[in-house]
Amino acid sequence: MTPAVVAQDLRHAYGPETVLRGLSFDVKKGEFFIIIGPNGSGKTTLLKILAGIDRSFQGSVALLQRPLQSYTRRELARRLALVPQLAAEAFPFSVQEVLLMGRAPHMGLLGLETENDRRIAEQAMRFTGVSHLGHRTLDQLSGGERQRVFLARAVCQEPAVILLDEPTAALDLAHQIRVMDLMARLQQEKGVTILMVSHDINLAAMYADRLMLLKSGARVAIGPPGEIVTYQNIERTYGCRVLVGTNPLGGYPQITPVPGRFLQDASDPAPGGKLPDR
Amino acid sequence: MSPRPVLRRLALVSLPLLLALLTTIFLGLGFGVTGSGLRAIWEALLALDVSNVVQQTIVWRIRLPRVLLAAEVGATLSLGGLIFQALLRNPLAEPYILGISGGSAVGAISGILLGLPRFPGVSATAFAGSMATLALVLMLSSGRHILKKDTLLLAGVMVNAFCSAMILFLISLTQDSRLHNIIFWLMGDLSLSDMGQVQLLALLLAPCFILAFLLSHAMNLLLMGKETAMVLGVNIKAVTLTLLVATSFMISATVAQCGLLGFVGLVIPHLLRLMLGPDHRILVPACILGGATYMVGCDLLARIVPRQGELPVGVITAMIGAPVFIFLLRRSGK
Repeated sequence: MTPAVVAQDLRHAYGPETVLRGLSFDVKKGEFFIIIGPNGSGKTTLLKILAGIDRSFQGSVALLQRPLQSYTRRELARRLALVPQLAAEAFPFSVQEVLLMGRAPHMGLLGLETENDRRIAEQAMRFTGVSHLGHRTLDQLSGGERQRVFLARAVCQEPAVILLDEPTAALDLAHQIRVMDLMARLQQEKGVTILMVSHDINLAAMYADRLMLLKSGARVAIGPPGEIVTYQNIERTYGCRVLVGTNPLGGYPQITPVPGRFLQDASDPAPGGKLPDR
Repeated sequence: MSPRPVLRRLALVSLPLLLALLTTIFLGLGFGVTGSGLRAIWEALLALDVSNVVQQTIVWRIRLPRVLLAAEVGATLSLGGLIFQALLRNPLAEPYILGISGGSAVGAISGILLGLPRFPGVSATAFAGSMATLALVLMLSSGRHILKKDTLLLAGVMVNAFCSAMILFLISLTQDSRLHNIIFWLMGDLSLSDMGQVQLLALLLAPCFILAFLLSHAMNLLLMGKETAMVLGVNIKAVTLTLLVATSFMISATVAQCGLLGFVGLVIPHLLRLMLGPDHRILVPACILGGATYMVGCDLLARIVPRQGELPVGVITAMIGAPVFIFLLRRSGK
């Protein structure tokens, strides 16, 4: 299999604070690849580098066997889409207008759409189940609906690779599954490479072909979920106790975080000590 | 291929606005200190009564340049407001409030006192002044937090206060007859206009207007967020820089011609956004036409409201604009 993304020895720092320290990995074409790790592990920075937003890194990234820096913004936008973290503010663009914005890298300067652009936008709306929202404006939508609109916009770009930054973070259970299912379908039916950052280890283990575990800007482990989601790996990365079992649906690993009151271990004291007396 | 909805909407919006502008211009030509009545104007316009030389002169030599200048200035200021609001993603951004107009006024007065000609001398010093204040405001509200509404407004208020002090200082150095002119000009004055000025300004403004329209879709994408715009293929550095420089340029060109006119860039873009939605491909032409109509109307009021003489038009725009600003500020705080 040819690689979609190859990152070699990525280093990045915000001032004195090092965020990525020599990270290397590759993502195969058509793979569902999920990056997990605690807050501050460098996941979002990594995604911004891959999306071509942050160009102040060291090391090399190749997208579809070409150095990332060699693409113009427009060329990049035809191959790669980003679904950002859900923002609170929204301008009153209609859902249709937002989807046609996804066609921007394929259109002229003024963004005048052709019949073909409109057809692609309609397909994307049907695919993500937002057709009935076409004339509503963004500010009238719920978080879950808005997230699906942004997924649809990414689909409109007709990219080879879609990057997603915690797409399920602010969503309820039904919307979480819906978003993940849509991505899995894109991967299987269109061969799109999915590269996602996630906080939800159990969800990630059910969908990903491979997981990468990230801590303090370095790789802890990379491989199929069954090999990566072990209690040793998770405890080492997150610094908390977990149980790892098997998901009743099949061979997927499933973690259960262990609340402090179940821990008898004196070597693992709860942080913060005693609460002050009232 | 079926007609594109955007173009159809653009025509649907532009035609009524154009009609409104032409009507207002016609009214602007019809009323003045020597109120000649609509019918006489109509005759003068159609050159029906060639014998009435005085009336011909009033309409063609005095009122027409003034009305056209008002249209140009109104179009520029409201387009400037629209662009700043999109680039800074801040609904309260406006050339006057951000201190950009004040900066170019300092530049312009310096130019006048140095004895430079109106063009290119005073226009150039005004442009330098506006670019300097723009840089200063962006620096003060700096870097990462540039999008924060309050920081930006505060920086604008401070820069404006400094510019006002500079202006008063420069005026205090002036003792001769230029004083009255400068003060009147500061309040926004359209009365000193001739056809040559109008044509020159049109030549300077037209490329900026065209540029703004060409980048209107990029402004739409920018509204979705800087990162989203990047990932959708917008070269945001180039777009932002082009628009900022073009806007400063056209603002300083109008300030050099007719002084400080506040809040136009706030009132018109907001009104039109409420009516037409956020698509800048519609809003850019609409702001040009709507802003022109508004300013011609304000100028008309400035000429007919006082019993004697006339008001500086800046008084009218501020009296309408400042309450609108307060209303918007209260609403955006919720």
